Amino acid sequence: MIVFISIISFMLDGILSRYILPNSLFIPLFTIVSLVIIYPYFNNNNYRYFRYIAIIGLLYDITYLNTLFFNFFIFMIIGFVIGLFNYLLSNNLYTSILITTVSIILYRIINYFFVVIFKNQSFNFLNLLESIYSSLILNIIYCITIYIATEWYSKKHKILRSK
Amino acid sequence: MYKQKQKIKKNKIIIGCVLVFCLIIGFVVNIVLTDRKLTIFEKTIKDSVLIVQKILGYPIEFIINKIDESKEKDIMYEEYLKLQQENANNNHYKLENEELKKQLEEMKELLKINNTLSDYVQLSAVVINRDLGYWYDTITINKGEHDGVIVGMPAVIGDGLIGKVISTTTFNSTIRLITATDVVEKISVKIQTDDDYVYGILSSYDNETKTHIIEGISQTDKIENGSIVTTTGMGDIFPSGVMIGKITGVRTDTFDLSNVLEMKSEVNFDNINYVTLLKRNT
Repeated sequence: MIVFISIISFMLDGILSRYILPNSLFIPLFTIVSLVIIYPYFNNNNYRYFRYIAIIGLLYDITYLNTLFFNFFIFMIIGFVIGLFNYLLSNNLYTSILITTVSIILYRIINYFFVVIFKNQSFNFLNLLESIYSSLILNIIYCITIYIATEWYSKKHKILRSK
Repeated sequence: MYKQKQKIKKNKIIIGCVLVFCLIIGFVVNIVLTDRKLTIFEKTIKDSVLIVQKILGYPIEFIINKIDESKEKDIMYEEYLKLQQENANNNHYKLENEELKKQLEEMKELLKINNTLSDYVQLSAVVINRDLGYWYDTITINKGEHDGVIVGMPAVIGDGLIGKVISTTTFNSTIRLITATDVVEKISVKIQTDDDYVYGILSSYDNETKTHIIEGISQTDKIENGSIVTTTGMGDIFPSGVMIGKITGVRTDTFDLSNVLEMKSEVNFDNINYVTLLKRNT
């Protein structure tokens, strides 16, 4: 199930990028949402989780950005934050939405600071804010959908996951 | 004594960690900012993932195409009537164009010129995805080395130049748009005035005003808003006469020595579905 969620989310990111306009309010970052959803299925085996994130980060770099280790590092940081939140809070729909929101904000902030520092772009707080809120709506909807689907599936097939 | 040794050891570890972190960041920055050539390993992974994406995306594409088709059907007949009218006028231009082409070929033969700056071959491609996390300045197309795409080929759409190929795999290529804020290469451009051309350099893109900046224009050159900007063909990459945009503003540079032009592209960079790659005949 972990692999299935990751592949679908990863592919949807690429497929939808063709149909969604860059300045719309529905920017997909489904791969990051999938990192939040799959965490409980690793049953606190952080070593396996981070190894998995590393692979997804590298694939994301190569396929969508032609870079190496850029998203790999950002995903690692996000993975650490997801682990921390799951350690502090119990896993349910509301905490998943919260962690998704925090992860997307973190991803956008790191990305933006990188662009400002290394790509000669002047800092504009409104641009950063716009990139954050345009990414939140669709991804939270996706998070709710995928959480309910995985919850139903794991109950039906009695798949263990950390609470 | 033991405590001091422990402290020194701890400091060394911290310094080591900081150095390793800086090296990794430097490595990542170098990879991200330079147009490096993809390795065979990266090319294979990228091609494989994009093939799977194409297969998985087919149902979505099918549904969206059907919706578009049904929308287009309503306005198709009106468009057809308009096109018929336009076609009648175009015949005249077509004949004139053919005559001019013929004359050009004869002159080339007479002067023994094999190629001109505006000679190029075209290659059409479909956009398969857009850059998701990098501020939308690259797109991936479904043509690669297998179809004859090479790094540096300019990409255009009906409304003008959009960018150039920065990396290729066997079946796909990545194009960096001219709206990228970190365009390293400058483009030689000419601006049409009443009876002549003024030459300048397209140097950067202003993300705030969504305009391109053209530098190197003498203050004595009179350029009006709405003047058409095209490529000059000087340099190895862009052929001559490719439309880039129209002038929207003229101002002097910081030192009041020359003019700086603001140019807006006619292209809607948010909605690019098909592109044409141009290869110069050299």
